[in-house]
Amino acid sequence: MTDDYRLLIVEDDPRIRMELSVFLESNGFTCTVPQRFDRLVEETDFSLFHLVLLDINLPGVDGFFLCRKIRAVTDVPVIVVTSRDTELDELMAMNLGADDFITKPYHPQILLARITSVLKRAYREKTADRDRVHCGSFDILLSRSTILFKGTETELTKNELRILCALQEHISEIVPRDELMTQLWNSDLFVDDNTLTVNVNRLRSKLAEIGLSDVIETRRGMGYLLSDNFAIDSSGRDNTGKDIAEKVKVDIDRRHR
Amino acid sequence: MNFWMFLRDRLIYILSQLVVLVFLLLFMYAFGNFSPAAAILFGILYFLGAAGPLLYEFRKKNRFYRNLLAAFDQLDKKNLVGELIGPPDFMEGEILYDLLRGTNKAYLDEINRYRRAQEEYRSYIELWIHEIKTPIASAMLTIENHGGEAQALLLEDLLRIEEHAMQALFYARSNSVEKDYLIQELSLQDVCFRSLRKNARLLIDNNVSVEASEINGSVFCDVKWMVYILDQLISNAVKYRCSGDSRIVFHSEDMPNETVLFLADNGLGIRPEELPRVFDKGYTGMLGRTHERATGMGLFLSKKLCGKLGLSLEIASGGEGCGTTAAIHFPKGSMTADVM
Repeated sequence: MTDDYRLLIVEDDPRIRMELSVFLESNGFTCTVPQRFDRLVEETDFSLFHLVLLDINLPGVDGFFLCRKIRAVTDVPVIVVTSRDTELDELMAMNLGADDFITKPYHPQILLARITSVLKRAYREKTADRDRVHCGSFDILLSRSTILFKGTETELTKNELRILCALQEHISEIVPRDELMTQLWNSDLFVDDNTLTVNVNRLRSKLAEIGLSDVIETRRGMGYLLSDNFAIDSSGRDNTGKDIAEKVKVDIDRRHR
Repeated sequence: MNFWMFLRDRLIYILSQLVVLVFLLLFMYAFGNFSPAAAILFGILYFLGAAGPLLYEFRKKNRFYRNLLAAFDQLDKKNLVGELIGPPDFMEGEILYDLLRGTNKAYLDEINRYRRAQEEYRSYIELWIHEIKTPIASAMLTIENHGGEAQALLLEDLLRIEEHAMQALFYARSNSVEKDYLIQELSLQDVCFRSLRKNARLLIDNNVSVEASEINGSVFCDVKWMVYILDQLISNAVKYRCSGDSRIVFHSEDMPNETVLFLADNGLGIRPEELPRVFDKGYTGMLGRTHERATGMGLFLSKKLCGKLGLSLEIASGGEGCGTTAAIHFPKGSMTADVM
């Protein structure tokens, strides 16, 4: 998912520099960490990078100044990292052309999510259709809040649409309930446990009505799973092979945690 | 300044004048050159000569002291009274005037010394908090990378350290005379959602459901401060929830003069006798004492920060076990213009 993205990490604290590159590399990025910053802009070929992570409290150089200089030579996305967290700093960073702004101490997972979303915004969506999300044998049409299956559109409620999209982002992976909820909360859908169950069941029966049964599986005690291998033909072909593959993957995932 | 008191101060002078007058009259009588008319004329002239300067002096002093007292009564900062009145044209007044201005200056110098010390301390605290964030961030990354059994426990401690650091930062800010916030027009819903997203894990993990569909309108405030205040209110609602179905309802009301944001929970509530003290620094109440990690700082700080932003914060409760409602009042119109 994050293959082939190369990041430039501009950070003065050696420990953070090291741990950050270890963390990001373990999540599939390739990182470059310069040790000196005074001639950074002159000596870096920005065309090699997909994103710059820029700490603005650097010794000797003003990060805001650096940000402006980077912006002057390249369009590469920049995420500004700082421990100063006033509204003014944020405004200033944004005015200087930063794409996002995150304050220390950041939680690594949040940083990861921000990086992924900036990258997605900058690269993936330029080519892909923003509105149509491909999802196995059907498509989700975001702006119309419908799913398109075999030429017919079925309307979804706002909640159902967001749940489906959240599951789609981790297609054929088990999404634990609380992670799914957190993700929904992040898109301003503040569902509680019961509401989630109700909505998922409603979504599931809606899908079943148009011939997409068993698209969303419930894994007891683990979470939900949107499989991408359903209804290749609607006759309900046996897909045990895929199930076994799924289980192996889940086991690996669990061990990984 | 009372005329009789003025005369009392000059009692010796008046008595001596009277004695002199009586002696003069006796003298004239003894030497026989005496006609009553001449005596009366002499007495009146003498009286005018002696009383005239007294009256003149009384008028002059009375005017000065009356001004001084009136100015003193009207002033908010009483120490500035010396700067407000004109210089008097008699000796005691000049001494008093110089003294007033002198003490005021000394007093202001003293205040400035403390203010500078306080500012220095505050900027040191802010610097320190920004410094401490780097090792916290670094520790979080290390935990994430190396995992291990202690991961979850250490992360929890780190989050607690972060929370305390943020509290110290906002405490320092709440005491500062500087305006280090940025007032903007914000969608109330955006601010609430931002805070809810931030507290998602806390609310989900504790199984608290949130109703936030009825938040409308825009308000003038600083996002970071407002989110911090909402964090405190949300964390209180979670901390003092009842077992069972916990719920926080956000809603706003649009009034002619203000927009009010309500946060109502169905938690443990507050006893009526404890309600007036919830904003006191360090006050935790009965529940706080039996509950985990009540510092008595959350509401105190929230109230103070609200005050600096020109907002008011109120807490109401139906009593023990009947939930708590917090209301933040965002004034509209002229007040908003003032803060800007």
